[in-house]
Amino acid sequence: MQQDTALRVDSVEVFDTLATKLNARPEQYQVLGDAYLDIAFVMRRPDNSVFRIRVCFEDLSITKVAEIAEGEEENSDCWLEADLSVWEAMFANIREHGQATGMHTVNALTMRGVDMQLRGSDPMGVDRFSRFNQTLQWFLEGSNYDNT
Amino acid sequence: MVQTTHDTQESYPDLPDHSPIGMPLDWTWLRGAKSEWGVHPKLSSRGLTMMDIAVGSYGEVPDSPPHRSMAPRGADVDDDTPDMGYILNKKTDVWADNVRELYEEAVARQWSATRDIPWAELQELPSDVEHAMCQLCTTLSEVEMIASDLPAKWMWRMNHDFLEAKMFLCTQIMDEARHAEVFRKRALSNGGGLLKSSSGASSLLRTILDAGTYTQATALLHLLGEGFVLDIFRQGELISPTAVEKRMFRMAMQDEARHVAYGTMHIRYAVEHDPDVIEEIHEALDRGEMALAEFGTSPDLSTALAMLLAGGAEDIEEKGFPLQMEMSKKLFSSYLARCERAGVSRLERTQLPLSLLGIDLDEIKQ
Repeated sequence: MQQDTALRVDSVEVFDTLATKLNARPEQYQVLGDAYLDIAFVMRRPDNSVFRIRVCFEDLSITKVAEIAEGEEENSDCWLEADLSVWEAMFANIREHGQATGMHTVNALTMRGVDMQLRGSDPMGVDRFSRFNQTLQWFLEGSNYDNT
Repeated sequence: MVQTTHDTQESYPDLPDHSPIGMPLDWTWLRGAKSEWGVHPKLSSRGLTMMDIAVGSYGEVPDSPPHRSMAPRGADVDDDTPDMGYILNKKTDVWADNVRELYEEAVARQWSATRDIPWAELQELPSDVEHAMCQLCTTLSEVEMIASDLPAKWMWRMNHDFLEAKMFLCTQIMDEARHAEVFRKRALSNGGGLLKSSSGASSLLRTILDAGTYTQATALLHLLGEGFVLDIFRQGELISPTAVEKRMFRMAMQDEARHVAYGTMHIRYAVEHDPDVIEEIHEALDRGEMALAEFGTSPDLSTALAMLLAGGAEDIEEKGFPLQMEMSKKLFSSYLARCERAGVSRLERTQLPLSLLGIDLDEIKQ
């Protein structure tokens, strides 16, 4: 992840980078198995603007990374919503430790629903967050997944 | 469309009627089996899935199968094939529209409690935390196997035309064996051991196992019981003292969410196609919710969870119990939302103390 430090978290580029890394090494994800998850990430900036991006997992790859407009996150299975500072802290933690530690995994962050909210229009979609959680976590941990 | 292989009869006119030792031979499989011949399923990107081969008549799951044998669905079945004694002979009894997908997912996402948990990274923990983790693992290794025993109790009574549902339940049985394994291993691996087994757990398990119908059983097991355990596994992030336990809970959580997904969609399918079944589901959940509440608040499980949430005995009152209450609210909110999705709204019927838990019914209705 060191090469990502210059990238803004609230950018398509950082998710494109993560997707490229995953797609380049699908064998690393083979142990977790195929994943089918359509998830959006919503980042609230300090200036009240919001960055939204949608990422689609299919088989052992990422098939889509796209910035989306307000409300389009509701077309995903589920979405994760937090202040930009929470996302920045999460990625900084990954860069520092090679993987998310302590309360910086997405499961931990959403557990209490205070720092980050897990939302979805359908409980079945929300449950996909649990069904493919380790794959999602490794995706966010980028190139460090082989250390976990 | 069913086509027979009858047209091949003329291609093999010289086949013998008897074997070299005089036994009569049967060539009907070559000369007229009533089968859909010539199907060509298309491969998907990951290989040949159960969804891919659900083509033509082979993909049609009958509402009421004509046979009660173990003959594979779509085969040309002899009229005198014995009845296997199946009692779940309606599609509404067992089916869920996502069951093929869930089976493939389960097969693809199997893991090993021996290999995939970094046991070598376990660390010596404070005695109170180690005791609490061992108590939780004792309870979990006890309750997890109900989700193996219950499908096993019913599977052999399910009509074989519902093959995909039975196959999925086989994966669930394997998943739960692995969960019993991983929690037993954790209890024994870090200098602790197995601790208390209370009557509350067995009371809940007995309620689930004794369900009168499979649909009641799956409401109690998948929707209620496994939904509860799924949320405990999600809490693994908060209660795990090290990355080892976090991995353990996260891997188990993925499996558990599949089981809940099957149960939710099975109940939905049953209710949509046989609305009469809804009252029997409600009756089961009336009993189950009380048994679950008794289990969830049992002194040993609740204190162990509070201890882990607090990170030790010192902060248990200031941090442990309040966090536990917060988690209970999330847990029961998730359960009630799944009931809504399954088409069995519990909002007006449940005897759970929703106000005490601070659950917002409007939020669930949305």
